Amino acid sequence: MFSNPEFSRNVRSQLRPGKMATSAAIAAALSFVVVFALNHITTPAAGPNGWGFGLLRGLFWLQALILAAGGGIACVNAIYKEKEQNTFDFQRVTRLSPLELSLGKLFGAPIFMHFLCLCSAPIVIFAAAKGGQQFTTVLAAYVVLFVASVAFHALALLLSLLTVRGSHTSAIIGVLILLWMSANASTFLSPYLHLGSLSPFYASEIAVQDHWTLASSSFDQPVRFPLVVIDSFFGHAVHHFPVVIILDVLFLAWFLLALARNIKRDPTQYELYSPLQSLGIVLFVNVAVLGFIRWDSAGLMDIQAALLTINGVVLGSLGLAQLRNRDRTRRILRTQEQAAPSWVNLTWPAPFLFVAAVGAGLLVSVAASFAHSSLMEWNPAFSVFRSLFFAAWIIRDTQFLQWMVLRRGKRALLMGVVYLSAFYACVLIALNAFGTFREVENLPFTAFFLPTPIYYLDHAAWAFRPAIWGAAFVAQWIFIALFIYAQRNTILELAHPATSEPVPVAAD
Amino acid sequence: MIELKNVTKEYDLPPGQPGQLVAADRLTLDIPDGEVFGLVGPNGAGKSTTLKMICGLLLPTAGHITVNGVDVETQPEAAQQHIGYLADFFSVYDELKVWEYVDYFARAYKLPPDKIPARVREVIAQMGLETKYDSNVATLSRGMKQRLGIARAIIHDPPLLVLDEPASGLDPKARLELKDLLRAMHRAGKTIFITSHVLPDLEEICTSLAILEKGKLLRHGKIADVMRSAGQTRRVRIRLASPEFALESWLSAHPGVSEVLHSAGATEFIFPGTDADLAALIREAVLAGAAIYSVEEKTDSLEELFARLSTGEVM
Ligand SMILES: Nc1ncnc2c1ncn2[C@@H]1O[C@H](COP(=O)(O)OP(=O)(O)O)[C@@H](O)[C@H]1O
Ligand SMILES: [Mg+2]
Repeated sequence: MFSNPEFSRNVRSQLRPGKMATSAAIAAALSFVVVFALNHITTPAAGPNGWGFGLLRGLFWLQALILAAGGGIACVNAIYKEKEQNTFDFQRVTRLSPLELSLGKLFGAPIFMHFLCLCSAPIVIFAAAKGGQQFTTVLAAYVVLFVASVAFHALALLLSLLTVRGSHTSAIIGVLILLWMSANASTFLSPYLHLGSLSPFYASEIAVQDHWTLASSSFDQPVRFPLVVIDSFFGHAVHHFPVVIILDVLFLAWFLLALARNIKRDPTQYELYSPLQSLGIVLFVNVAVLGFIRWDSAGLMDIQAALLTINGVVLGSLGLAQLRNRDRTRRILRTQEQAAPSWVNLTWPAPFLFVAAVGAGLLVSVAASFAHSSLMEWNPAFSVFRSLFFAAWIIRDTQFLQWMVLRRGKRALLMGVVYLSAFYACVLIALNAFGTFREVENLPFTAFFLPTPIYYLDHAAWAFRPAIWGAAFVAQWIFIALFIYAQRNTILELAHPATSEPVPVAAD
Repeated sequence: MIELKNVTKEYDLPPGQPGQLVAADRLTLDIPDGEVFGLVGPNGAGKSTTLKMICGLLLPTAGHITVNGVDVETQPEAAQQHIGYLADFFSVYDELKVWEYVDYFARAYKLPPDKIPARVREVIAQMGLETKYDSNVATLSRGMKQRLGIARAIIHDPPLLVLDEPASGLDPKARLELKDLLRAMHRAGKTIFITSHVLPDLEEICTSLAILEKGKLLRHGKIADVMRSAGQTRRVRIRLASPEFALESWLSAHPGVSEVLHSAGATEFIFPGTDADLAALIREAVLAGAAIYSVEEKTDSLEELFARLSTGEVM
């Protein structure tokens, strides 16, 4: 790593000896004060492990905060600042490969936060000794802290690459929200998934686990502190530690792929993933989620709703990544098209999303039909219909955004997202006011606007008002056609050559 | 060294204005090795855009660029190893020391590690920054930062230097030093591609020239060719030691001479003939009794040429 010039540049500029000595001294002083105070204040009734475990847990939580949040902010700044100060172009013209540059920034930008964590190692070791904690457990906690933080840093760096002038603050807030969500995702998902937290904050839980053995074979109650966290992958009990490491490394790999694909490109031509890679991500997320699902803990319909929600988030993000801005569209038109723009280019990203969303929907349906018990009604035809409806909804919104992005104007994407959010807010308020969510026979009306009713669409719901359900489905495709038509007009406008004057004849 | 084929770059005009802005309009250029090539044009002509496309920083909307035979779009890293690039506006890493800054780029350009320290010293010395070797970059003056930028651009000894308005913002002394440096580079066999919106910067150092306006190449070629093709004529000015001789009327009577003007002890006229014709004319005038002590030939400066070209007088 030290042979990576970008990494050593960060080390040189962030870790000057004076700064390091000061931080180390402050950390040492703080550690001393904390240990001294705890030694005097705590009563003997602090539990079998004394205050050692409490301190250990707190310390890892704090380190996760420093490394993930502090390092995340450093990563958001990393590329954005370089672009802002016109130093980024000079990195792009060097012979550093895109991967070297990405890795140098990934480990280099948050280097000071890594150093701060190193400074707190002595008090961590002290607390572990005091609580009689195993060495392997503390080491495992550090590994989780490091790997999960680096995966998060990669995401922050990706965000930094995409941050445009003037949205720096929002990017920082966005990263902090993402961190908060990743720390709490397992709580939201625990009714559906046998999967513990993937965030760096899990380090504080594993740091205080009692033992490494997989004692419990019942997954019905989430196993809590101070016991071991156990996941279930396709029915096999596994310790959460390898799961966190493997999943976070895989996420890291996906983020790094996007970084390395784009970091040296012309910023107007960024394409986070190729369509095929995006399909790979959809498959990866679905396999991971299906592997950990609790088929027994909730109704099949609820599980399917959860799966489709997850897919909605993933496909939504990938759909955003597939949007083409005016510059890219122009280039595609000028370099690839001979006569008229092809239908794929005129309707992009609908073809991609159709394949991805229908595929994901069918995958969910197939998995559900394998897992369903004979007690539940499970109709494959409705399952397919749900997939198509789900695909239509994703395509509708993405196509709207694509049209917005192709229109002229600053921050076209942001405006599109704002309009879309406003649309959903109004719809929710209006539908709530009419009470359409409360009665099952009114549910199909909401399906015109929102996808959620279709998650629960079964024979009974369909039988109430089949015509309205059908109309809602058709309506989605009409919307899509409208947006594609608008997009087509914009593209054709772009396709006309800007000038028809002859090339000026130059002197010889 | 550099080949552009129908290179086009289109931007959006600011919201509200219809149509698009063509910052580079089907540029086709072939710049041979060893040339000092100047690209001139007013602000907003598309010079920086063209340069960034050559360096692989911007992708052209259409067209192809090769540098030293390497396609910039498909093999950017291979092409970039041949290019030293200096942007029009840039900053340097203020937290680093001067040698660390140069060292960073030496390693980023993948010079052999054992040669790096010597090369870093050499380049810093070449830019006259030896005394600042261990100083923080933040303490350098504007001109020194510019020189540090050049040190960065030449660290890997590229055969092609691409400089975007390197003289802007420099004081006259620094400008002279820059010119000397560029001449030295030229003698060392480098190809230099340089832009400016001020012509005198380029006039003395360039071997060839292109004039760009609104994304279009108005003229390009060897400096002398560009001037001649612009329909330039010879304007001669003669000064007499004593005003007794009626040079004005004598010249007006001479065939071919036109636009004779007399002002402040000097007579100017336009003469279409060759150098030998002019010599003969002067001999005749002297024999006729004119006390000539000075004959000057006034060529159009690039500035005037440019002014005429861009107002459409020639085009
Ligand atoms: N990113 C951009 N978006 C839109 N227009 C741009 C962009 N960059 C440059 N332009 C426009 O392109 C034209 C050429 O710019 P530039 O190449 O910087 O000119 P020069 O370097 O000759 O002054 C200018 O009119 C400028 O406003
Ligand atoms: Mg410029």
